[in-house]
Amino acid sequence: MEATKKGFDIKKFMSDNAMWFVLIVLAIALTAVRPAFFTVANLTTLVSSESVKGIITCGVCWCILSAGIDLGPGAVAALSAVVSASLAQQADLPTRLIGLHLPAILCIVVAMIIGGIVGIICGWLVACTHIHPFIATLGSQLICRALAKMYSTSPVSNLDQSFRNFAVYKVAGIPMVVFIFLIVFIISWFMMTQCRFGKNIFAIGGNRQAARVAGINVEKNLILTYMWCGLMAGLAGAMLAARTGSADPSTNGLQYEFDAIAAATIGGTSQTGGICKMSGVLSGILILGIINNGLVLLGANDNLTQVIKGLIIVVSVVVDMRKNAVRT
Amino acid sequence: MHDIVKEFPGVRALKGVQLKVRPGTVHTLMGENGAGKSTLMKCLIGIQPCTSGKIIFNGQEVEFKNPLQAMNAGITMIHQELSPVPDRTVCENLWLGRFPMKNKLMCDHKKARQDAIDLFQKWKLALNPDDMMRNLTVAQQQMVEIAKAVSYDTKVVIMDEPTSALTETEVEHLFDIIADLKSKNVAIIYISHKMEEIFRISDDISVFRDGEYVGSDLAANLNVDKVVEMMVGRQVGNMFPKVDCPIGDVILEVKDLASGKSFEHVSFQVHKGEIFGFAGLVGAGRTEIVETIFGMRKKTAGQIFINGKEVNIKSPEDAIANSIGLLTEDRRGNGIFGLLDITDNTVMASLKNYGFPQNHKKMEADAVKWNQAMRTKTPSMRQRIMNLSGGNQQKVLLARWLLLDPDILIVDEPTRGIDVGAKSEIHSILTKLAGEGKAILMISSEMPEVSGMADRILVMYEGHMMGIVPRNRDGGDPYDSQELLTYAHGEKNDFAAAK
Amino acid sequence: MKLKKMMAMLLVGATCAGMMAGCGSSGGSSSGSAASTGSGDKGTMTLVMSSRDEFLSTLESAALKAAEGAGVKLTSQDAQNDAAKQIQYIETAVNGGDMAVIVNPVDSDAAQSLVDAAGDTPLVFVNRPPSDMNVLSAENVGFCGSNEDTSGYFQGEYLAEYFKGKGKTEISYVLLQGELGQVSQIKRCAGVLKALEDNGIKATSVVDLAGKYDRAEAMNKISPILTSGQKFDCIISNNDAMALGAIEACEAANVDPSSFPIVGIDCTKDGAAAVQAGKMAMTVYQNPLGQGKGAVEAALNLAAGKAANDGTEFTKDESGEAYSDSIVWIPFEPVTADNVADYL
Repeated sequence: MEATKKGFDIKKFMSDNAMWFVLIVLAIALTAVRPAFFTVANLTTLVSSESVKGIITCGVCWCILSAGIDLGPGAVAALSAVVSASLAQQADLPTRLIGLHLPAILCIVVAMIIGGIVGIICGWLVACTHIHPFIATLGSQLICRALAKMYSTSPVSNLDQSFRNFAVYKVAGIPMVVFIFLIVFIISWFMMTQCRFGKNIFAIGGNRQAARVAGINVEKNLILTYMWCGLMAGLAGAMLAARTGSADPSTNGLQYEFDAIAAATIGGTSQTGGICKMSGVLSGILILGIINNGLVLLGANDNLTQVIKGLIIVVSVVVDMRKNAVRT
Repeated sequence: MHDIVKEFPGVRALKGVQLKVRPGTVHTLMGENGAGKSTLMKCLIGIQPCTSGKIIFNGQEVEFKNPLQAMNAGITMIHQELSPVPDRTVCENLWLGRFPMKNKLMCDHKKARQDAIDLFQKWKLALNPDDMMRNLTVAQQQMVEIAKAVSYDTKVVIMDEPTSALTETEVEHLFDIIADLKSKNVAIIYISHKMEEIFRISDDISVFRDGEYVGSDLAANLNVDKVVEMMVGRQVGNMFPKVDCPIGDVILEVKDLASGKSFEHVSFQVHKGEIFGFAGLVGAGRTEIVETIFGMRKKTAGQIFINGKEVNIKSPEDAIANSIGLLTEDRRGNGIFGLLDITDNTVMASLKNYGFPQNHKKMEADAVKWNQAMRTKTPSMRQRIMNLSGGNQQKVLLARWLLLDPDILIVDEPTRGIDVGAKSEIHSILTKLAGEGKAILMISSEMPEVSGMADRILVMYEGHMMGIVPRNRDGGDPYDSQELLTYAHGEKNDFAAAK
Repeated sequence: MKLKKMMAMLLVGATCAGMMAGCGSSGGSSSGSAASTGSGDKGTMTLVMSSRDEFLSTLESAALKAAEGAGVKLTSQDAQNDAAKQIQYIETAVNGGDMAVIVNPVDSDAAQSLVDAAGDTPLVFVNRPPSDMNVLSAENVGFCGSNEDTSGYFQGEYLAEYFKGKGKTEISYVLLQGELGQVSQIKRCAGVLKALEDNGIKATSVVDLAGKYDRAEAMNKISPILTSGQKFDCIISNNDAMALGAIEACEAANVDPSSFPIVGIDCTKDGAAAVQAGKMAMTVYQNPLGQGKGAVEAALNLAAGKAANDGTEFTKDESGEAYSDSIVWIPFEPVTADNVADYL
């Protein structure tokens, strides 16, 4: 044992936070071209637009950390969105989808329970039957999307204001959905860095066998991981409905899981598991947000947005792999 | 074939190393882990570029950009870690990347198979080209690698610890092949930690330490002590610092244990303060027994008692709760978390003790304390464990279990692939633990290690107990190695009648 | 073991709950994969749907009703957006001796392969036209649907009138596009711009946004425009969902959505409600009932050896192309605050 080296390693700091620098450069460049970008109003818009996907990302990054993946969240969000919306439709509306009307908070709880159940099932499949997570969650994606469409063929709208307020009520000019995202993010960060659960998932993602030998209950922890991801997807669904005032079973949450995977990946989460930093995940979410927002302000074609997103994902993974390469 | 000279001045991993290999000889490279042997070989065959220096091969200066160029020039390497394609046949693995073709489009399967059979016959390898790679033992997979190496018109073969996974008969076979290669004027660069082997087959020995070339000489001019001294740079104490300590009460008792077809009817008692050895050939069922005790494998029959009470262990979690620790055989596969740092790796089995939210300061303090006790060499506790040498990884893993303070510690091949210095350190740690009244179960394929350390040895053969041999305490050799071997080969069985 | 059992129970429970929810809520329309009506006295027909959304489900029930009225047994299949499955269903219908097949194609480009699958059996495309209209030249092929060129055109005509009334001939607009590259997106965008041009309005785009026909996506896309204070005169949307997203975005940004015209297409329930509330200026109604009915009538005509548009109550095609008689147009209908009550 030699003494721990102290001191500030600028090179390491730069490479650890590379995506934050990318983010700052993007923001400065955009502000130079379109001063309207760097206004309180626009930044608020940016964050509130990304909040729903951000909530999903806070779940998906856990699955990726555990050396798995979840393709379900978009569809789970759609399912929980239509169900929670149907429970939150105005009580006196003649065209209510179902008779039951619940207080707003319970609608959100129901949405999360739906997500949680789907997550537990996926987690069980992944942990106990050893199905590849890609397949297990592809299944949940298809089933949940279909269940959402069966539940309602048309968008469910005319929602209670009390329900909608969970997303749109403004505190200091910032909509609630942003605060909910921040709370979820902090919980996720806390679990990842401060709790045993987080350490366990790092271990399982890094070396499942070694985790088992170290006395970690791999199955239980994996089920909890997917359950967390499901809970987040459920919450995101409720937020989606509350924010837009309507839940559309066929277009809600389409491809959100891919944006979430992209954000986590840009933020340095390793696809092979065992590496994830919540600060990185946040940078990933915000970079995608800046791209979406900035290209609208620049009036760029949507296809260009996709090209840029694709490039950033690939480049960030290449950079990360170089960083993590084993030096022999 | 002429001499090879290699120089790398001013490199961190290798500092001005040189090496001369004569055709038709076995040249052994020795050094502790991390001394730069493997790096040197990687530079030679073009896996890594050398910063400076030159390689002269057959009188010509060469520089290989990749292993393929090296192979085509006649230099092949058998890596320590095998990389087979498990779901393809032996034949396809053999011709991987250079499958014989009928024409530009179609593969010539017939020729591939026939060539493989010819090759196996020529080198007397008991391999079937149609077997699936997955179904082969590690030793057989190694044979395929060797076949692959010799199938090139090779002039230099590099073998990086080829015997670490082989049984004794297979090792003999390998030595026959090496002799054969020598007679064909092929040079062999041999890397190994096993002294006996080295002195048996080597013509020349070169020793490395910390990336530096220490020296080389004819094997005939050297002996074990000299080589060890060169490697470590100091004199090493007793390799097996066995101290007799008071043996206490029975702490672990196993009765009639079985797990599927791996092993059956295994019964033994282990006392406090005792080091209980397991001996036997590879595949005799030793690892399986300890994995069953530790809950990694399903128990199909029998009982386990701890301190006289029957316990039902279904998972490693249960085992840990019953104060059992297991240092596994497969360090990389189920020991370390390569991406995590030393602190995390040390505390991973005892996260329960750090509360909510987790107390990181205490974690760090504990990790530092135990790794100091283990004398882990690392620049920082924040270092990812995968960047450490095998010996240091093993020390971190030991620290992990000692932090948990188990009453029963199982160590499976604790010193495999570890250099001499670290090896003797680990041995003293185990001795010290036994002195503290812990029971230690030790598996080792190295006979000198088990007989040097154990108070009693249980010998297994093909899943059956053959005998439990107590240590001879009257001075002289602790065990009759001849006796152990007859047990291990199934030629003597104390328990045959018992069944 | 216990855990496994519990999981299995949950799995079964969740699936059952889902099925019941599906059955319970789908109401009038059928929720199984196949549905049929009619006595079959006068023969059998098959309707192959691409999928079942709100609009198509309404179309489907109208077709079933029309067939029942004509004494024909109509079986409806859902190809679940699978073009290959669609061909299978057509082949099965032909082999089963159906007098005609009605198909709502998954892929407009693959129309010819559907016609080939039908062989000599009459085939009527419904709702989505083949991308190559010449496919309709064959004697046994027909089409019943609405002319997508006109849906956007109605939006343009409305906007032209609105701005002329204000004395403006130069306007700037924000365009919310559907899924880029889809026929409906391309035609709707082209239609609205052509109408503005035809009516002497010079329109310039502030920005074209891809809203993917999704409310949330449109909301996210339009918000930065509003908060950055860019000036525009109107929002043109390829469908109602995106127009409603724009309205949500306006409300979130404290912009009054009725201060400038927002126009949509589809006349969904929510869309009509927004028109009535004055938040959305107008939408365009596509008539699923007419399409369902018209398709059955066209199929009966073809089966009887007559032209598809023989004696139809709907609009005939006047382009004078070789395939004109194979087409039955169901007109789009503009919906504004004046007539929205009829569509609620």
